[in-house]
Amino acid sequence: MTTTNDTQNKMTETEKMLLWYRVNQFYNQEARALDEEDYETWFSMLSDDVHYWMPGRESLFRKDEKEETPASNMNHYNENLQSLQLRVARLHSGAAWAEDPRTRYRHLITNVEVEPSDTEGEISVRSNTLVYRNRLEREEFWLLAKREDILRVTEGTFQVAKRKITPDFSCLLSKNLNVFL
Amino acid sequence: MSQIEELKSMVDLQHGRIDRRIFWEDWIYQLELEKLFAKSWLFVAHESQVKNTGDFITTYMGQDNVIVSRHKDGQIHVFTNSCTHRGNRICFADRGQARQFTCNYHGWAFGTDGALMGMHEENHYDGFIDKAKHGLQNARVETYKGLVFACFDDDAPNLEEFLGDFRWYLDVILDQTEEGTEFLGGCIKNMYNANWKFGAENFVGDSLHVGWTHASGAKAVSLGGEVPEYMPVDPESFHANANGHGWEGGTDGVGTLELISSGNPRLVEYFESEREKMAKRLGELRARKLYGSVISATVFPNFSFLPGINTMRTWLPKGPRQFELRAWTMVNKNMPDDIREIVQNACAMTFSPSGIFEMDDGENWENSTVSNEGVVTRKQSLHYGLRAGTSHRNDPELPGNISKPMYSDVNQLAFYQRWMDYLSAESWDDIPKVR
Repeated sequence: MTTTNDTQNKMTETEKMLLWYRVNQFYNQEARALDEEDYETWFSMLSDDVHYWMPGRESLFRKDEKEETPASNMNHYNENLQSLQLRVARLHSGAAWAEDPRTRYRHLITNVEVEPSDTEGEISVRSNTLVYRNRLEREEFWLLAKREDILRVTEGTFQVAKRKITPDFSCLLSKNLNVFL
Repeated sequence: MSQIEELKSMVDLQHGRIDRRIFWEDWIYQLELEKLFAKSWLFVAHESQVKNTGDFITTYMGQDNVIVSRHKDGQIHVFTNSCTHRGNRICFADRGQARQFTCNYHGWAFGTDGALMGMHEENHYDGFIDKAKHGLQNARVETYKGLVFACFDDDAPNLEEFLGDFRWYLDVILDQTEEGTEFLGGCIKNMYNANWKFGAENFVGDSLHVGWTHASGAKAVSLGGEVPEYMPVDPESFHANANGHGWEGGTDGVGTLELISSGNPRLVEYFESEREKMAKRLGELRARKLYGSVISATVFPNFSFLPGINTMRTWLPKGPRQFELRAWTMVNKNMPDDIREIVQNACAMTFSPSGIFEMDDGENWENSTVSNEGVVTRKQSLHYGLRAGTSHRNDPELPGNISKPMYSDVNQLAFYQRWMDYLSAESWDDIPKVR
């Protein structure tokens, strides 16, 4: 059986560059969808069985650091496609007073590293994200996080099958987290 | 007019008027730190967070950072997190395991009871220090059914007296089972540019904002269907308050459980199967009609929770115009894993910074605060008059001061009455033991 690992090991530098380029294009399109609150497009970029997870973080002594799981933690997000859709339904309810006027979003995706995955048809991608939010008169918030994705290769493009977002904050410095990363 | 007289004029219980300056002025905030947070019992932890010897968490009592720690004598100690030498913080982790806390500056080491044990190059101190007098300042510590409270005032009444009749309501979530409760791991923290009292008063009694502020969340959980009547005008719904603590909500027994189920019947089925056992401990009213209803509550001054969703949180003041919210999820120890998961995810989905309900609260509280930067605006007093003066103590079933139905400012006014009790008192004699 040919694994992705073998496949990627056999890839030429040019093929790796092409894959990296395609992943970047995918992330740029995703960032635009999120910036523009185009959630129908965003949902089409997620697999039906997506696991979208963002644990809360705490300041711990190094000796007390442990690999977290969704069950061991308080999470900002621990979502499947249905629960993500429910969250978006709030925004589309016509009654999300605190989203009108709209929040101005900007997602920047950088430091993209494509790695082989253990599963055929999937690749493992790490990236950094910088999300800017600006709201009303002077509200301004920056969020930085690491993203660890499993992307599924489908019909020449990708879908996010898993995403773990590790935020660089322990205390969120704003009144809410009205954004996906 | 003296400062206290001026302060007293700011809360008009009879007419239900509140002066906006209590949400804005620095001098009032300083009084809160001195006369309320340094004197009142404050929630600091759940026992499950410091289960084993050496377990600790750090938190705040007012703006005093404290370590909550399980000492080898089995007792929970709460003490100031500041070295007695130069004042540096001695523990920088949110939680963990420690045999001692050693200051980074000069290596002064303190035990898990706060006692000074020794220091780097200790021999130089011979004859210059009495170590027994240089421990960290301990607070009084008492627990109520798993919740750990601490108090910096030796003359304050004990915790039981402080909670008073409100224990009957706390038991609805704390005493459902023989095994008791625990907090799930982790803590979600976030900042609001708002006065801390807006969080506390919202949970103490604000039934009316639910249907309006949270209309978007309610519509979302209905997934395109009709918005269910989560908050029917239930004539039996009520405000209950005791000693400034308050509980508001309905009596249908299922509103909250349905709200957090997202169409999955498992949670409601689980609690229905538990009700009989709960009723043996809590009685029919609390087990079948209160638990599961849409309810919010605040333990005076700054500890709030939502029964059913089981988010437990403290509004930690950071100045008159800023607070930090720290939130945990509580479960019964005997809950099966899948129910724990439902409750944990429900907290993230509904009442957390990303939650579809809580997301809409912050903007209200921040702008209710910042509006007061205008000197003209700040002089307009606020309406807190809904059902003012309607509560009574002679409900046949419900302890405390009761007003029905829940659409009311009764608990908010009781909260500010208690707040005024503390801020205007010269001594404990001035603070009524029961309100």
